[in-house]
Amino acid sequence: MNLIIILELASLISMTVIFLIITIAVQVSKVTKRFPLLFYLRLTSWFLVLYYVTNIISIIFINGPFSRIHIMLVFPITFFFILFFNNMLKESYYTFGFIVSCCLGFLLVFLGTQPNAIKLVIEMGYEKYVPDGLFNITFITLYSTFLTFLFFWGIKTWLSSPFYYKKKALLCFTGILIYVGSSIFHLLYSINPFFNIFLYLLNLIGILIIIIVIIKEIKILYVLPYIVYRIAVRDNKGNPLYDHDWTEMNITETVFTGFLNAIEIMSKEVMHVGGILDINLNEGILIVNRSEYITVGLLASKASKLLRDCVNNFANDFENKFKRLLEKSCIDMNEYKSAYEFINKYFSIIPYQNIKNKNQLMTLSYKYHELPKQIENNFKNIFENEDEYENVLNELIKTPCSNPSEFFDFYDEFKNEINELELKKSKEEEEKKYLK
Amino acid sequence: MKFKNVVGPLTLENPNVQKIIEIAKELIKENKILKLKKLYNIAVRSLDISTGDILDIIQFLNNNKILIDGSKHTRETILLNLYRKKIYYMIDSFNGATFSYLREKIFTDHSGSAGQLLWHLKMLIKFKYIKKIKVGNYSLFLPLDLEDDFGKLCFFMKDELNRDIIILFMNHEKIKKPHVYKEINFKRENVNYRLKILMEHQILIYKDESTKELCISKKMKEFLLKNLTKIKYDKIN
Repeated sequence: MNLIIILELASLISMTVIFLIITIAVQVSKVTKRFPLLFYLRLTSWFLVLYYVTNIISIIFINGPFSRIHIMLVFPITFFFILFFNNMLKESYYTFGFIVSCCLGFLLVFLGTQPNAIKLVIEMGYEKYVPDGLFNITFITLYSTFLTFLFFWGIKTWLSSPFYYKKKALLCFTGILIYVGSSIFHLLYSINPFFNIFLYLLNLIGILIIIIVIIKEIKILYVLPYIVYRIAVRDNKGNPLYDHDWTEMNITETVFTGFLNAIEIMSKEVMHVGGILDINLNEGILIVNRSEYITVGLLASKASKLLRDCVNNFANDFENKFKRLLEKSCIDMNEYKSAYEFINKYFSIIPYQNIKNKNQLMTLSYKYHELPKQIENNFKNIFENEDEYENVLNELIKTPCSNPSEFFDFYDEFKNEINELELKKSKEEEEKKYLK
Repeated sequence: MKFKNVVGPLTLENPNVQKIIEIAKELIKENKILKLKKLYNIAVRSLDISTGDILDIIQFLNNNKILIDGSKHTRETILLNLYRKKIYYMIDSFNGATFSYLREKIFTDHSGSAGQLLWHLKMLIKFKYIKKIKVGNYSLFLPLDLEDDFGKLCFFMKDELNRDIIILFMNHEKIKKPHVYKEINFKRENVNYRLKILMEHQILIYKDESTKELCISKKMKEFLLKNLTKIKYDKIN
């Protein structure tokens, strides 16, 4: 056995061992078990292990059937990776890329069973089975499809990752780039089989980088390439029950839930209990899920199957946990605060977008600034709603040269007008009640 | 609120969370400006936890609105608040608006209090987007670049009777008061009251004191000729 073959085998065995370790690690990891999405990635990983194992066996034993199986395994690798990719990014599994790769995959399996699919060649003094003719072309096309999807997943993950994963995502993308870029040596391999060693070495380096990043930050595997803004839960009478933000959107839950109410009226006829509906907005999508007691709305920049599943599961768990409160028509939002556990359970894959970069200026909220008690009390008297109170005080500390007494004077100027308006409003409400 | 284990559950009571808050407090005391990078670097040096955990804590503090965006408000950034933006555009497009009008139009679903509206108005005044003037009992908010007199005129034009009177004067160079009553088919005392108010605010003036002939002021006429089609007539209240 010459040195080149030893090097080739050493690279292949290293890659197989690395893949095996990471596949087992991902398989047994508690974090990844929570996300069925990674099921397809785990399958891809298992088939990659098999892909390399069969290659090693076919090289060592100069075994034809294993060489065929090795090539045919590109089909499940591509198939499951596209399923993973589509589940994460697309609204359905059945995309053009998926259908094309399925067709190519079946063709590859069919061609792999044909007698002339592989040929025995002597490479650098060593016998080896290599794919031939149409079988080889189909293999290269399918493998390129896999690499293309891998490349897009890498670039999308890098671009979409929040600032605290950005460096790791870039490193992971570099690994993918090396892995994908090394395929250029596959072309040179036809000129001189010696180039195969570079292909394997670069593959090894690429995989090592990717795997180090994944071990350091497993969440990199499910950085979603779209922004999820907010989730809101309301009861069937339209009262807001729960609200959670992933970005700093300047809309209150009342406004957002008011929006959901409008949607609800519109969708009652088209939505049955347990139904889920996507509503396209100008700059995003609203996924609405209706169940017996609640309607859940999720606002995101893009819909995906994964998000819909998450909303569905969240709505079910929410309703089950708070069924007693919902039956009593409890509308105290504090009672539903523990729903955060479901956010953690189903949406921990969604990155928060509030912090953009490490140079961002931050400050502590008003609670940690020493504001005179008198001023705090005055604000409390004006803003009875806790959210309004917090927002205003947080704005106050961010406003240069702000003098709260200026605002109090301004407020006093309008006190009479406010009272008049309140009186008018209550009179109108009384009249309405009387007319009823 | 449990989130993740970082030497115990990630809550506000977690000692590492408290330490990061303390570091942030110190930095704010020293510099008044807190850069996330600085907070992170000091936390890495002084805490015995991984960098990933520190980022998780920072993220936790941010999600719970304890660590908030610290960039000071500027003239540009204050309009990032959607309510403020809506208030400003309403005032700008209607050439002014009263408090009660804004109260009704901005928080249509009663989602915000009067205090909140006043807070946003005060911010818009502070950052020189709008100004406040008094017209009788009304407080009128005008875009900063609109002259007070024109703001008042637009305000009066929102009343149908005022509008009829002003348009009548636009079409006639001068009219005597009795002719106005004839032309405007409305109660005499109401027309009289409106004429008095419009004269008080120098929108209508005496063309000739001796003949008691009234006309619209030249400045107002020129403004109306330019902007009559642009003024939006929504009811004041």
